[in-house]
Amino acid sequence: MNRSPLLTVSHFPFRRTYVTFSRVQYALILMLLPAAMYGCSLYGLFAARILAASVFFFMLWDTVFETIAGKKHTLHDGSAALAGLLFGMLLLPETPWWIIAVGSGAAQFLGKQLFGGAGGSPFNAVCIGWAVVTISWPAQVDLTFGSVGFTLPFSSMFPLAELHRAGNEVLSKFPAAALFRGLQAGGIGSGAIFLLFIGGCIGMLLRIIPWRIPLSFFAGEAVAALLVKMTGVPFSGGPLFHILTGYSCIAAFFIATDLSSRPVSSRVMLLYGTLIGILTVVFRVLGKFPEGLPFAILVVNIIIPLFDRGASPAVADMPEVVRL
Amino acid sequence: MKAAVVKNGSARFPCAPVPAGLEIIPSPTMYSIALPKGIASNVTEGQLVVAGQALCKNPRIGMFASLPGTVEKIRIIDGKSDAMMTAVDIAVTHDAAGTESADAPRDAGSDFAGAAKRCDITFSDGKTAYCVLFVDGDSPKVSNRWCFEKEYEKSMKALQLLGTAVGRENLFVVVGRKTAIDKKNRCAEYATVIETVDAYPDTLPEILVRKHQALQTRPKVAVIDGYRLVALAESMTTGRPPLVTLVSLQYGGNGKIRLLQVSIGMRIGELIEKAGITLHDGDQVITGGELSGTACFNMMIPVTADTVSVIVIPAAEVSLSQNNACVNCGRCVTACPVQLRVDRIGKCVELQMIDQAVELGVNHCIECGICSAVCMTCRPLAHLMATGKQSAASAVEKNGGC
Repeated sequence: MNRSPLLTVSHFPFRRTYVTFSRVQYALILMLLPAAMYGCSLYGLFAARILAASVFFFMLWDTVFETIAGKKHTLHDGSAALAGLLFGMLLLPETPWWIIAVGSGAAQFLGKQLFGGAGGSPFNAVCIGWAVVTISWPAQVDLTFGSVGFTLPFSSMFPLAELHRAGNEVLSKFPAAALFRGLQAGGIGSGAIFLLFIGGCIGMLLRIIPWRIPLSFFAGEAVAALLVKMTGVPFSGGPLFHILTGYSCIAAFFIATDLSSRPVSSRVMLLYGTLIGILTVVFRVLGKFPEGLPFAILVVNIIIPLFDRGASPAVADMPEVVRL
Repeated sequence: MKAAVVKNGSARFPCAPVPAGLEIIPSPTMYSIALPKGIASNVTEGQLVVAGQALCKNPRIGMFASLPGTVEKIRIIDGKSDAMMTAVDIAVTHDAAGTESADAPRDAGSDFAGAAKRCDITFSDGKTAYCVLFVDGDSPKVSNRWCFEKEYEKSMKALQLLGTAVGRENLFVVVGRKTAIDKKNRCAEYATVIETVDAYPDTLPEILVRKHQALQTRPKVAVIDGYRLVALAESMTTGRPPLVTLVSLQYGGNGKIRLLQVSIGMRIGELIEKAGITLHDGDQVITGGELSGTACFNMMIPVTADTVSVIVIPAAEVSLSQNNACVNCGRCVTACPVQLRVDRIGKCVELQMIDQAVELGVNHCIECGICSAVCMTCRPLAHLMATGKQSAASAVEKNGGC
């Protein structure tokens, strides 16, 4: 674009932030990459194939739906790639490609394009995709049987599924330190707890990830797990066990903090995280599936806009500023 | 239009010692001042002139003007540049011979102080306002902090003098005001130090609202800048017009801020050139701050008493707003100094839902512009807020309200 300084008409502010939407998306992808690579090192090319397919299908569906709707293509902003990477990291390394294709289509259509693109949807696209494939093909997606086909340096059973099956006595088989180091089966990228923690902490320091959501999520989850344990349910698990297994970490830092579906007001963010944490424990202990976190996020997505619509509290006691 | 070519005489008036951290930009030896119509006939060659801006007609406060010197020659300038030059508000003329009293001590600046007291002050626009506001002293935090901490006593004294001169009820002071983006992407230091002559309520929104009220009903004095307050104190205690001003210069949005001591009247283009910055095609020069400053479209504009900061934004960094969709990130809400739900108000205004926008508090917006600056997708939020306010006002008018 040829711009002459005399003809450049702009209004204030004359400088804008360097934090743009696409940069945030790519930064999040970078923060997720170590965990994804850890998954690839465990499961080999199977995992790499799943991740590649997931990213590819998310981007493909994004383009297809935008072309159908006649909208500007937004492939370059990285949001489709980020969603694809997150979706792939939740899946098992043996998931067939057509499940990924259907799941990503559902995610992009129901969770993004139906509401007009990035930022419009009140629902988390990744969770919608995961919920659709989990309910439709539980045999292929469900984590109940863990990563049986692989020889791993640790138990190939999914910790939460073990808890579901055998009760609290399995807790001794999964020491917290080992879980934290990532020695657990599960989704491709969701098991690398320490890498996700590091990525999440970098994101919080860079203020890309709002600290309120992960913190309130872990707090809610811990309190709920403690309460459930106190009631003496045989399948309760402990607070630390719930935080360090399943999708807790990846969801707390990267999925629940998704721009489009998270609340805007900082106080509601605390409520949002806490509700997801509590519902996660409820779904895990009482639900049909061993891992119910994405369902918890979707349920909270439905309720949270009710709290997030209020006007600013400061408005009531301030005088109005009249425009000259 | 006539212009006076003036030989710089400011070297005759030694300035205060330069503190560490200040760079001095040498002033030009010759410069030309456009002469407003009312003054042009009075200026003759060989006269002593002072040009700049008047703060107050009150003799106790005196002039806040600069560019002292002797007129070398009068020339006719073409119509192209004179419009720019009228940014110098006032030219005070005095016969140089008249001030040269043989017995009077040759104290630095005493002749100019005398000149300011004895001659008539003519404003270029013909107004004889009681006071001229220091409006929007958008200066970076460094200069204000620096002045206020180092020169606290002086500025307090200035406040007292100013308060007596203009009446305490007409004066309020917000020092350290800055609307800029800090590292946390918030509206930084919106009002760091709030000092008032009378005890004003020290809540931030009220002060800001008072600022707007003061702007509406003119002659009132708002001092929003630490450096100028100190300069005023100097001027009032020594009786000498301030010759130099402090300008912060920034190259690039995240560039280092340089504090420069610049003589008032130097052209912006000259200042930038002397500071070692080469302007390229498409670069934007902003005076007065990156958020609510003014874009300079002519480099001939002189540095005046209320030029606080000059920001040069390279063409690559100039970012224009685009009509993108909101991605719901909430950065505008976090950054807003009055805690408005900017995201929702912006959407309401776009959809012409003015009632809802008013309910959400669009009229409480102080239009600082931080929301536009931090927006991830470059939405014109500040303009949406302003549009919302106007639509709300016209809707009230239509319905016959007051």
